[in-house]
Amino acid sequence: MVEPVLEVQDLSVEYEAGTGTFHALTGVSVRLDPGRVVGIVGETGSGKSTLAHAIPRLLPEPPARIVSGRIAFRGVDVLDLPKWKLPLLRGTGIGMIFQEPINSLNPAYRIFDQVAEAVAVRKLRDAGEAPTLFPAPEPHDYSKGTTVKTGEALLHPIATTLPRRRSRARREALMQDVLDYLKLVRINDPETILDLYPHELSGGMRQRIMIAMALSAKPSLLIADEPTSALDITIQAQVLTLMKELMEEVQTSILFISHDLGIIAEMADEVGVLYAGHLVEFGPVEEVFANPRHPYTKLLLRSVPAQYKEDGPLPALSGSVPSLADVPRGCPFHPRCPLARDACTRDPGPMLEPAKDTSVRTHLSACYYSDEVGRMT
Amino acid sequence: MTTPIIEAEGLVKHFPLARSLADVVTRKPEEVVHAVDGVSLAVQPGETVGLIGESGSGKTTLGWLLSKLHEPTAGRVRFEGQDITDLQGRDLLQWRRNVQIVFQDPVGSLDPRLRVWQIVGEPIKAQENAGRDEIRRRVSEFLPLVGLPPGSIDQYPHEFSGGGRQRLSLARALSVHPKVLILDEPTSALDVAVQAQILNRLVSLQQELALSYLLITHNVAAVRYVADRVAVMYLGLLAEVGPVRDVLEHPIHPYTKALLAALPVPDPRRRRARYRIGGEIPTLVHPPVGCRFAARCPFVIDRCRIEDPLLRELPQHPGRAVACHRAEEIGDVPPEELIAGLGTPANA
Amino acid sequence: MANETRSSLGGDATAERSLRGKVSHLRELLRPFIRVLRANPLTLVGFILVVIISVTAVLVALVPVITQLVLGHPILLTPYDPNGISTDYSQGPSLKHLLGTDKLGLDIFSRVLTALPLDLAIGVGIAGFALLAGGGLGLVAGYWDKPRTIGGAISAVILRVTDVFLAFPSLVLALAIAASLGRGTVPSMLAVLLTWWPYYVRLTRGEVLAVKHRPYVVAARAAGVSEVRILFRHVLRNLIEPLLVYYTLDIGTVIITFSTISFVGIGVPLEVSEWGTMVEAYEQLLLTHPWTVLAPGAAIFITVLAFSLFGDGLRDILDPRSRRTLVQAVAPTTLPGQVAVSAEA
Repeated sequence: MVEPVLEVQDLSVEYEAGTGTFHALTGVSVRLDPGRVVGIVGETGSGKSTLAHAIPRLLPEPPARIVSGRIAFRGVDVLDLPKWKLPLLRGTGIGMIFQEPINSLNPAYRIFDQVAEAVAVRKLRDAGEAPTLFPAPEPHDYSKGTTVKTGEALLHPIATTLPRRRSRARREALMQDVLDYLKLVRINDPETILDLYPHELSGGMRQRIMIAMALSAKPSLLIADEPTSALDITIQAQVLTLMKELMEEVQTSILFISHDLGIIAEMADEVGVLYAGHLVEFGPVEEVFANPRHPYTKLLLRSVPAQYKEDGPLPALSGSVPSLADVPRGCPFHPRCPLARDACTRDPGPMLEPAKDTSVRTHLSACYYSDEVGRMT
Repeated sequence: MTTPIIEAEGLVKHFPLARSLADVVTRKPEEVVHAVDGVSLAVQPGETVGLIGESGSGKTTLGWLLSKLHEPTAGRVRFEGQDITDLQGRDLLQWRRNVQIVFQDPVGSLDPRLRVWQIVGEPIKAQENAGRDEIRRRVSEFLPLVGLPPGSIDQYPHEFSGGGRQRLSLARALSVHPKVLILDEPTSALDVAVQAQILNRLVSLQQELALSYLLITHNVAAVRYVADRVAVMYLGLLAEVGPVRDVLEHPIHPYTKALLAALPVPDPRRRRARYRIGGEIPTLVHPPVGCRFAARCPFVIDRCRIEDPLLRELPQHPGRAVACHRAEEIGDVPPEELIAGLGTPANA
Repeated sequence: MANETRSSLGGDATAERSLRGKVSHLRELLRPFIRVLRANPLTLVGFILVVIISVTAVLVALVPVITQLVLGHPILLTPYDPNGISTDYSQGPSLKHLLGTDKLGLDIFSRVLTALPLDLAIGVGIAGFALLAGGGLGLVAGYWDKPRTIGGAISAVILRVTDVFLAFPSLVLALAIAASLGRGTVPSMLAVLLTWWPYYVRLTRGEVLAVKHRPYVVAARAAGVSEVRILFRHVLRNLIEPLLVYYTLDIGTVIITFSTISFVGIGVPLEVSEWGTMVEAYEQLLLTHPWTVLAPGAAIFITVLAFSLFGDGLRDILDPRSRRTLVQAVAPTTLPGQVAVSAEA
């Protein structure tokens, strides 16, 4: 049995603000197996970004507060790690790609310097010259189904086989890797862009560079938070194609977060649906899209204009997403749900816990009346 | 054939690039961005025309030209048959009540320091110089039309959600009873569920108020749902125009095919293999000779790189116009072919 | 007959309604003010201090003048005549002389109080003039700066002149101008004013540029609003908040600068009570009779602090958006499918 790369159990996150408490996540459980892609779909205010940032502990801890739950990355309890070990978790353990590459790339540094920085981190850790949580420099070999090793931090003094300051020697030492990773993201003639600044490149190029930087660290888990939302349609298609090809080549697990149902359908193996901080449905992507078992999922799928072929108004959801400070008691969706009954105002519905036995692909729903969803008109 | 309610005739808009002192001294020739390079498009009364394209296509600029927020470098704008290109001053201000525009940024398009009645009532004040009470009354009567409670006239924009703010923009645009509404990406900053609500609202308003719409967006599905005809723009020129179902189900121009092939479909059983249209969208400072899509086009032939394809009607497809030399031959190639391996490998 | 009664009744009722309406309108406006004060104790402290300082300044300055006119002889609010030499030399703070006396027996507390209206007026006034002059120029330079027009040329001139002034450190420039103009209250005020207006030009121009291209300005233009109206309604209205906040914080800086000029020996004549000259006069006595130096110094400190605290909170008071929770600024969020707005010219 393969150990999951990521296991989130019953995670609840709150934000304290002067005017109230925002329940960004309530009891969310997700599990990601090696080499798989799990998509998280949700609208604004669903808490999906909070989930993306919580896993590598990137949330600003006041005002955010992790109220309860457990996050285990390759067996290591992330929430238990002391602050100084957190940088070791990121980059080579968990990589992240954000929505707006113009914001995530430092505008004051040239492309070479930024990619080289990411490469350098990996090189130092691989050589044992920088502390790392996972002293396993070889690429993970999932084909053999072996358990992934976990370990305690190695504490070596940071040696200097890699020239420390910006110098020609350092540049030469890192150059080949930088070029390789830029070619990996299908940038032809990467030499031409090395000395450019981020603002001199197009959005699509910047996103490829972000992906290159994330991958050069060889993470076991990649969290992609709306990576293509800011891109044009044709460029988006190119980047998604790229990501799919890379998934095969590099064998990283991906947690893919998006509001776009089409993108999730393209990329994910399994999908979780977030609503107002609650995970309301989880299962294999084909099943969830074909036979949704939660009213929100079903109504959401129906309201997307892309699928709509008939005449008459779009079957839009009534009402709007509740504020996270004011999540309805019981099931958060009940004020807008056509199947709502009394019980829904009291009980939040069955908790979604990923099955312990990973060979079974389960389709879970947080609705008591999930059987009736299929018959909803 | 009725008179179009609003019409672009050979509109051209070039934006000059900033020049440094060195450029002036060395007499470097002035460079311009060819945002719109000769577009003719008509909107019939009561019709919705969708204008789709990606960034750099010029669709927003065209919308601004038609609402006279930009002066055209060349070409004419007609409203109800009359040439209004040179309208100025008082006449221009008064004409503005006919064509209103809803912007894409629901946050930035509402002055954060003004209350709802001041924002929505601003056009009324400008056009009719009505008094405070009158404006408040009219605004509160108007708000339910866009789905907002009449009591919210004293609130501030930041107290509304994204969808609410978009409705406010819509209410403002409609408050002086325009005949044409230009909608610039009305759904892009909104969630999927809210998009559906706004689209439904737009459709019902069109019938109630006898409006004509120009819907500018990159959301092809929205166009399919709302529009009667659709125009596809690429780098400042029209690639294809025609009835919406025809164009979106049987696209002829290679760029239209590329665009449609790129759309992710929310159906996991229909996943795409590799998307094979590579290349970036250039900014148009030095337009290439010949067809602007030639560098990325999987159907390109030599002629495309030499000769500009003109937008022409196709006799076998009435009501459709395409700007492609090979329209007749490649017309039947479905967009899916662009995914399965026909065409150039991706360029950087 | 009945009609008249009815209409007169109606008239009174509407007058009463509108008064009540005006009162509740006022209360509505004050609500954010009160809320911010309650939420930030420091701002409240600043506000209270500012009020106390301002009221005291007005009273100290005006009561003698009014009583002179009305009663024939001035009544000073200060315990002693600030210029009144007495025999209580160099005494430390006591019940008789709250802040002690100096070598000549002058009561320090009275001197500090007498200086208050002058220093406050200088701070408020000079910063105010700078705001108006610099702000006006900045508005022109920001709003009518299209290249190759007359407005553009004027803007360019304004900006270059401003740059020249800004090239000098403000204090050095003020001292240089004051020194060349000679000692005196008015010349030193002029010196500070000449040094100060350029900052407002930059500030205002930046804000105008930011607002000028905002979508809501374009939307107003699209609605048919005249350019003049856009200028007043949208541009100026959005300018007031940052300018007012900066101004309030600036008052303190002006006071310090002015006091420094006086301290250095240029500035107001020695007879005029002013905190800076007091510090200069008693500088030598810091170790032997510290209260003489510390009193005016503390006065400067408290006044500047009061305005700083208040000015900081002013931003929250003026911005209607401050009602929105801070969480949305801190929590990571992503917006669905936002197309890069700047892509098209």
